[in-house]
Amino acid sequence: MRNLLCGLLLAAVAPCALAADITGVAFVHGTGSQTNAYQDYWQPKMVDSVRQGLANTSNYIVINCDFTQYMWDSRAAGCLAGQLGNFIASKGITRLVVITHSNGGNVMRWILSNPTYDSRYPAIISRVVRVNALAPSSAGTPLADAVINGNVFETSLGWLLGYKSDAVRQQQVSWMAYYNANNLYGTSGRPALPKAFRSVVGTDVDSAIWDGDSYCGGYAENVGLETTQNWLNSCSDGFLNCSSQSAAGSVWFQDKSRTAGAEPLSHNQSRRACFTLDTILRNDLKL
Amino acid sequence: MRTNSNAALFAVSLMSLSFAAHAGQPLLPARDGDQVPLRLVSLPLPPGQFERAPVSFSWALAPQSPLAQTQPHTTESREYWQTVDGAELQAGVQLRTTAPGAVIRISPASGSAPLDTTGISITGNGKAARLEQAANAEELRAAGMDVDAGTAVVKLGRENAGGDYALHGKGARGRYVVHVFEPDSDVVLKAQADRQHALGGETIAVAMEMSRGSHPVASQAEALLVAPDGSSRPITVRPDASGTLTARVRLPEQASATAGLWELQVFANAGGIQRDARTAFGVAAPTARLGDVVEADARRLRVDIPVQAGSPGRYEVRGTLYATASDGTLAPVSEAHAAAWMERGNGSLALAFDRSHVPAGFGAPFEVRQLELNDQTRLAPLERREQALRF
Repeated sequence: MRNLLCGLLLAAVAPCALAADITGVAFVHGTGSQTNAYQDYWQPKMVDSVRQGLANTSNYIVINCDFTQYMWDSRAAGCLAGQLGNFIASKGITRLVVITHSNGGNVMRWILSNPTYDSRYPAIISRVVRVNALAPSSAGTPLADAVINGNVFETSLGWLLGYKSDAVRQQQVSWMAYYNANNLYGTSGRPALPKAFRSVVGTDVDSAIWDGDSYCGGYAENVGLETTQNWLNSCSDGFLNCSSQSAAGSVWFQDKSRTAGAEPLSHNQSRRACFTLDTILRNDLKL
Repeated sequence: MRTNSNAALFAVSLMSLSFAAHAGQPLLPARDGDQVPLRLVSLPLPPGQFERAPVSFSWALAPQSPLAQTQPHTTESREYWQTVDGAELQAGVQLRTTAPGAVIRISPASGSAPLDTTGISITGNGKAARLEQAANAEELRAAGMDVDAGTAVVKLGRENAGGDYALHGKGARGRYVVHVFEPDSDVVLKAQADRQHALGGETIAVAMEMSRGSHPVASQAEALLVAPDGSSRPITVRPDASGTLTARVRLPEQASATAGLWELQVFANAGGIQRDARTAFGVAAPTARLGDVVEADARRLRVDIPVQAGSPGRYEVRGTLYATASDGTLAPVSEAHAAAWMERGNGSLALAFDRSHVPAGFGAPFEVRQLELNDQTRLAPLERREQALRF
């Protein structure tokens, strides 16, 4: 029965697990330089819940890299390739499900789109069965443009507002349009990625102080998201337009169609165990 | 999917080879929109560690998913920004809006006094205007917006129609960027480059138009060409033959050594209404080019492509294999990439498509489209041929 379900549900996006397969899951964080993403970025409740979907619950890795860099940088994709490669080798992983959040989707998509850039990439790609991209910034965000607008370089003083990280520069809308058209695959009209890339799209932000749902993932974070929505379309998670989250690969689901209580996932909530997102990801590992 | 790190797929000769001496067939003539280097430059290696091992890779594409040439991005702006000093901000900076709900961000320059939302006020017609939202730097950063310390964002209440306002910042000292964004305005500046990337020394044109609703409005504009390292120079904007405001930019011969994209920043004004926009494009130094004559093996679905390198680096060719269906139409069936390190001189790279990627009912003749040569060490798009080879 399980195999039948697997065939019906996933044949289009990935081969199903065989008895001899060893499935692993990797959690790939978003913009920022992480040294303990397990505690700080995802939080234990999320990671420890999702990995229960593995036959061997120790076959997981939480990536810690410097994603303030451009996606192709050795400290970004190079670091990710190193940690994924070591994980695959040390655990004997044959099927790797990658869960990314936000800009982590772009770094993973760099690896999938540029297999010859680094000789470690092909072996990783061959093990990946799918990428579950939570709120990926595939087409950038107007918020990145907003913080860079007006930041001029003055010969005597340097950048007026200080240097914005390369990851922020990269995620400007027109910059991502360029990278999607020239360096990345999976967007409309471009060749497909070699492996499935499925997005979970956050469509709204709840930040009412009387609404307990606003507190999942941290109330303060969601208050800021209400303001940042001014730069975004009516369909957004407070950091990314739905169109950006849906720009690469295929849409797995929009938040309200699968979450408990049909609650929306704000950009901070889509990396946390909010509204059964962790259960959905856990069950996906069983397929 | 097929992976091959075998050096047999790669051959580089430091001897001076004549491309014309290869047996094979010429690439199809370049078409409008293709990018073909006519000269080569010799550059030192940029700093960093780069892959040295040759790698090739291919994967199947679904023939029912057509590919399309992507167009340069069109930037749409409902915003403008200006730099003011603290004394101006304390006295009141004049702002003009065109619609209710303007969002105003005030960012202190390095060393300037931080601002708190409680110190921001806006007046219109001599009266205080209600602020609907206010957020400080900590709140915005928690939401992922990478603003500078001391930044404040306020939103004018929706009862405040478009018009002239004065922005006040209590305790302002130093310099600030004031950024006005009008999400609901119908006054829009659009800017679009005529291509996504160019080679150093070439000319790129950026067309721009200001409109109100569906009607173009007369406007003037200035522009700055900004390199990835932030250096800039002014560019003249003038109407082209059709009357469209256009900036024609002759790019410097030398591409920037700093990673990232170039931008044309446009500052437009229509009857006192400001709109600013930035449009991004890539500029590459021509460090290598494809040879004119390639060897294509339809049986093995392998294409050997000569590469002439003017600079040491890691070069990559990639292309999409189109196969012919029973009804005579062509469809994409496979994507192949190959990369290797090259010193200055002539070499070749082989696109090895996997025959298993060709679905039943598809076969010769084949075409290689979207043939690209990239400099992976400088992340530069060197050569692009939309339709490269038929075999």
